Amino acid sequence: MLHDTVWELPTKKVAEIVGLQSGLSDAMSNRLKEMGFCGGESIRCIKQCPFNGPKVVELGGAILSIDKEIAQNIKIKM
Amino acid sequence: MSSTVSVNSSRAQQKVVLIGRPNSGKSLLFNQLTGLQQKVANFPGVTVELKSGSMKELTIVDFPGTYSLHSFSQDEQVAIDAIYQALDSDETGLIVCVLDASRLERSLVFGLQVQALAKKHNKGFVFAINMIDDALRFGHEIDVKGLSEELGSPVFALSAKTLIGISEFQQALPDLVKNNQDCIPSRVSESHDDVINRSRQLANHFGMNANVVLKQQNRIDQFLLHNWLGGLAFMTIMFLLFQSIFTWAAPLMDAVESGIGLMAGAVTSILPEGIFNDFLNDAIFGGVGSFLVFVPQIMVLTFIIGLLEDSGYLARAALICHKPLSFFGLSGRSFIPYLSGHACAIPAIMAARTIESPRKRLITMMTIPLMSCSARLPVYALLIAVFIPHQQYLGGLVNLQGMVFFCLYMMGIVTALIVSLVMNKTQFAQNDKSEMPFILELPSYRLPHWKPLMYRVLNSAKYFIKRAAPVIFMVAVVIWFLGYFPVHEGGLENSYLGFIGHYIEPVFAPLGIDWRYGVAILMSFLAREVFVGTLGTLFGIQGADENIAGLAENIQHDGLAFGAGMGLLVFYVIALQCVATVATIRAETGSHKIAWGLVAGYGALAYLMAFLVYNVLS
Repeated sequence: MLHDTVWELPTKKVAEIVGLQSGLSDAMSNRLKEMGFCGGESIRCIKQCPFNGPKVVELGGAILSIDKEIAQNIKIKM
Repeated sequence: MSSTVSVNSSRAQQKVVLIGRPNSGKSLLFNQLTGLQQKVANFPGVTVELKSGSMKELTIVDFPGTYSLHSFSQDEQVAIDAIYQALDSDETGLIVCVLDASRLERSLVFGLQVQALAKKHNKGFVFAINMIDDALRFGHEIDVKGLSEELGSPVFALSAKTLIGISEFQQALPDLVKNNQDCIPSRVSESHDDVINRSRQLANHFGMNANVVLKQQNRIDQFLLHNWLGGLAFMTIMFLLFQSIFTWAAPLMDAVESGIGLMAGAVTSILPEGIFNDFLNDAIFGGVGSFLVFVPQIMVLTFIIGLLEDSGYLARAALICHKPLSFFGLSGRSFIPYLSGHACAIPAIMAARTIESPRKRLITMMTIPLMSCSARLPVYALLIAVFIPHQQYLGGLVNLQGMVFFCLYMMGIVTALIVSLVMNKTQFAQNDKSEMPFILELPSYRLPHWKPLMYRVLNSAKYFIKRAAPVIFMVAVVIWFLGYFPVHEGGLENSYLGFIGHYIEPVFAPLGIDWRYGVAILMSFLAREVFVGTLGTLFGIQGADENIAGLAENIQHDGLAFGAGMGLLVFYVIALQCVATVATIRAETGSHKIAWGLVAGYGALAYLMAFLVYNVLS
């Protein structure tokens, strides 16, 4: 089944993280997990910067800003 | 096991190591424990070097904040290497892992990793939950005892900001270090997934509901990160920053100026006339004194940058700038080095370590010298005072001199962006294609900690004077001797300096400036602020005016052409004239070629631009 990614998550909407895309390097996926991008966590989009700029999300009590490349690698269930 | 380690432990194991995630308030805790002030800032990844201070007989070492034991950027690797070293070292008596009460889960992920390492290396380990004032404010009390049992390590709840629990922690530390074998963790998480799961469970059980904390933050962000309101706010803040350098600092500068004038008047009237009197008047008060006038501006600039850092706004600014900066091949993280480059290029070049991508980091480092650092302030301020009338608009809110100042800073920034773009497009940077993605945690908005901030402001002035004064003093003395002899009566033209100056004059003639400015420019390749001191000494010898601090008026009377003055300003915007910066770039890049190439490249560009400006304007 093809999942949506955080990049598609509209502003002010909440979704549940399903997991990370398989193509990521170990270093990258470890870091994302440590930052809280783990399956089951709920993620909320706070802001999408204009011109495909970084997305600002709320996750596990922190506000994080991630760019398109990362956002497209995090699978969600809306 | 404990018997072998405890031998001589009272002498050897005196080091307490502070470890934690960025922005966990670790540096402030370090300051409170040691009373020694260091840079405390609310931006992830500010501590790039180890700071140590003492608390009674203990040495406390503050480690750079890291998100994980798996490094991602160079500054993290430095921190992680240092952590491993500390674990191996016999001197390490205790490891304190600082957690953020309002973000327990995130800080535990790293905390549990370090705890497991401490156990492996048989080191004493405690958790310090910082910022419990945040939790208490929302009515959440942390069950320290329960958490301690679950974690298998002692837990202290404290707030470095409001000092709750600090003195208890201070009292407990010596005993913990002494009996450090008693606090080797009793249970640890082995696998990466276990760490992540356990952090979540513990945070759910013991942590506070994060939503309350975020609510206030979101409300401010709604405005400051708004598509156009946020951009407008950003521009306004930056504009006010540069305006205030001029307006806020003006009364202080006047005070310093008249203070030096009074002192010079008093000293020179007591002493008998003669060479020594002339020397004091020209070289000391004229040369060294004329640059002290600019110290207040450096303090105001440091104050405002510190304010922005502490409040948490800088991370937002980095986010706002990410997209525009990536167009030039830079990252949002380049913004912080760029901004602190306006105070001094040296810490800024070091701060560039937080940029994940090596290529973006290199480009950022190479363009930081184009940011108008505080050493340029004296030069800008002097030339602006000479050529730009003191006019106010909008009831004093905007003044013309401040606007020119702003333009000069913008010119530096724009030049840096163009250079970045060019470097990004050339083969020079092509060897590293792998783009590191951009992740940035936005810290909660906080009120600045005034004491460390004020200390930082004073330190910046002290550092600036300490660094520049000896050079300026030496140059002033040498210039004075060369300018005063062989015959004082013959005037400056007939002095040794006059001969040297006329010899190099052809080089500077195309820029519309005479030999005195040429000498000042050459001298300022040591450090830019030397320019003002040199001119101060030169005009002092000439005795154009008895008012020593009024160098700007002397230059006005002397009749430097407007075009040449503007050309000089442009020259100082671009040229890399600072021995210390060159040394730092060399150290950080490991390349002589890059460092000296930049001096030559920016020097040639500066000369060319100054030539164009002079010829267009005259």
